[in-house]
Amino acid sequence: MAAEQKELQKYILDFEKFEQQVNGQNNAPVHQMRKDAISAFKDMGFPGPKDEEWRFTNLKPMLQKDFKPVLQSVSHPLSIEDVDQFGMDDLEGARLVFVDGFFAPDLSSESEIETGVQVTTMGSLLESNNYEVIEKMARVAHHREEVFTALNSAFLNDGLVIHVKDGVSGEKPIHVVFVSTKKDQHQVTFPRMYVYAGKNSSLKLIEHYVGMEEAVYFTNTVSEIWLEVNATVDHYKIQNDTQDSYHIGNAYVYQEKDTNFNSHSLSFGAALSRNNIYARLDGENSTTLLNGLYMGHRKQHADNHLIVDHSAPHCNSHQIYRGILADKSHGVFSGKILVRQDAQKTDADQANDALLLSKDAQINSKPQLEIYADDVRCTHGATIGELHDDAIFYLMSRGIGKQQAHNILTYAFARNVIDDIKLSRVKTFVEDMLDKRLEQDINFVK
Amino acid sequence: MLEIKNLHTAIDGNEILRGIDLEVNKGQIHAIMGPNGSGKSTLANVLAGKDDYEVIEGSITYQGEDLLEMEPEDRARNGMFLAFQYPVEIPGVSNSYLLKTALNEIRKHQGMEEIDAADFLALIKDKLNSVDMDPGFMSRPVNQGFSGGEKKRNEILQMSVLDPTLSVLDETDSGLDIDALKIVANGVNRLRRDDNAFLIVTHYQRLLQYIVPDYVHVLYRGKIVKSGDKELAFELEEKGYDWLKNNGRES
Repeated sequence: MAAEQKELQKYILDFEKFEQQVNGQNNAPVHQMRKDAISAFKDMGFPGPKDEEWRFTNLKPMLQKDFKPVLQSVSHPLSIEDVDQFGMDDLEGARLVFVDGFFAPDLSSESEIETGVQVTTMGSLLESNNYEVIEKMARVAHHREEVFTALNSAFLNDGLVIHVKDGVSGEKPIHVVFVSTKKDQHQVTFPRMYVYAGKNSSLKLIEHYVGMEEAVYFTNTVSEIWLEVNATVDHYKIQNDTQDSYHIGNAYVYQEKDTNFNSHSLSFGAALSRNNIYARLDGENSTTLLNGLYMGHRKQHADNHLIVDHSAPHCNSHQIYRGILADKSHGVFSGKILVRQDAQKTDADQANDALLLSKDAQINSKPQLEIYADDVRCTHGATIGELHDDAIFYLMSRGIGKQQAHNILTYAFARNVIDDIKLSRVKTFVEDMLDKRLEQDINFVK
Repeated sequence: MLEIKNLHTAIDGNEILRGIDLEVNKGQIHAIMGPNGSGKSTLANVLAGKDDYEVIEGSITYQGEDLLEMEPEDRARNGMFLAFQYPVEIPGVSNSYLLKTALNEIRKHQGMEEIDAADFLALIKDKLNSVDMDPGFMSRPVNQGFSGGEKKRNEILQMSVLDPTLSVLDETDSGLDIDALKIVANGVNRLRRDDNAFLIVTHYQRLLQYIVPDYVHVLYRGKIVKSGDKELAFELEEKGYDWLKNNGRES
């Protein structure tokens, strides 16, 4: 049996085990979706180096590891203090915690959820045979088109559904923490989020991925965000998984007219991470901001793939990503602006700037424009640079030590992405993360 | 305070300074003049510690210590300041952050406490005024989008806040209009005391109409070919550097 098939087969066998546990749902629509997803997964298979979208990201080391799906919720050893240590515990608003893929009510503060913001776990919907929402899902998250979305859909078991009612402004952020614990057997979890922002509503959402010390795991996550007319969603994703872990995330965004979607992707952890964001502008006068900061050190691999799909006229989109790569880390950026024929008067831009802090660090940057409308403005740019010796000397000549001069300049590079973060607590959290990385982990002066 | 002896330096194997001897004492202002390519900026950069230059021979003693053994930041912490000919733009770092960090590094070195935000604001308010800079400059990224004159005034602002013992001005006057030139000169004159010193590197004598130097040295092909008082600057202005090129070797 070829190695690739073996890797697929493992998940298919796990799926069969999973099926035996969900007896009550066997005839439910959700299970039809799972079955369809696993068959799509089989058909597609895992991508290899010959797949254009995966040319620079080698999945082999990940696929060779024997990750076991967590098929049911078991009691967890965590305390609220354990979750607090991951940061932003003083954030105003609800904190909802998932442990190894399952909702942990004992660690969560549901009472802080605002009126008009309806939050349900997917597990409880499945248990009560309420499939209404689940049927709506996958309108944008096509499990037939992306293999990891298929895998996530096949193992759909728990996750979060957020429904912001029409006209409701969610002022306080909802902080969702996904914690993986240390187990004898390496495990894979499949978190799923479905967000529906009703007409004239707004929501601030933080997805925060972390692991307990020394935990080795694979997180395969899918988030779908649907914005009805005139809705605004600020979406923060903080990926701070442990250094030996793997993270593959797919986010799908659908925007009706007059909507604003602001995404901030902050990627610090994992041995290998891949973030796909697909945003579709399907109504006039909408704006998408995809803003990201990724930071790699040691042998980390951080891959970001963005697609903004302009399907309606008079929309704006901005992609601004910055990467800081030290040691032997590797960054990949692929950003696509797709402007369909009807999307006249599109105004779209894209920038990816990478700062290489060592000779062994590398970045592959691939901007793509695909334009079928004739009256549009689209720009893209990519820069790759190092810290400037002249700037370092200038700071040193003012009494600032070499290491600190490097830190200041690296920090300055990240500045323009951090400055776009509107939630001040997230901003200070990211600043602290950066400080910690610069002070403890990166030694510029050798 | 500063003693340069038989200094020879090279960049990429080309010898630029070919035996400089210079002594600067407390309370003095020295002007270094010379045509383009004579080695003026090299001298300024070697003093500040830029590592592109290789010192082949000679020594520099600053406050009794071997300057060439000191890192650039240690030179600064010990009171050395270089006003750059081409100040660097640093996006993402605000002027006020740079200045406050620099000031605190120097204070720490002197065993003083870090300055608090209120005292810092009070300190720079007056200094900003003296270089005719709007307080808004402090929140802008260092030199980014500044005009040539603004960059030079910013150097003078830093100099006046850091209050150095030895200030080296590298062609700070080049390209300035008369108003900006006066601001630069006033910055020096206001700071001038009998316990500090200035080394002013310039191509033109114009600045020396506003800053009266105690000594003027003419640098040509990596050597000081003539030294004198302020009159030498006027003589140079009148006769041009060609006069020296012909007469230099005899002095």
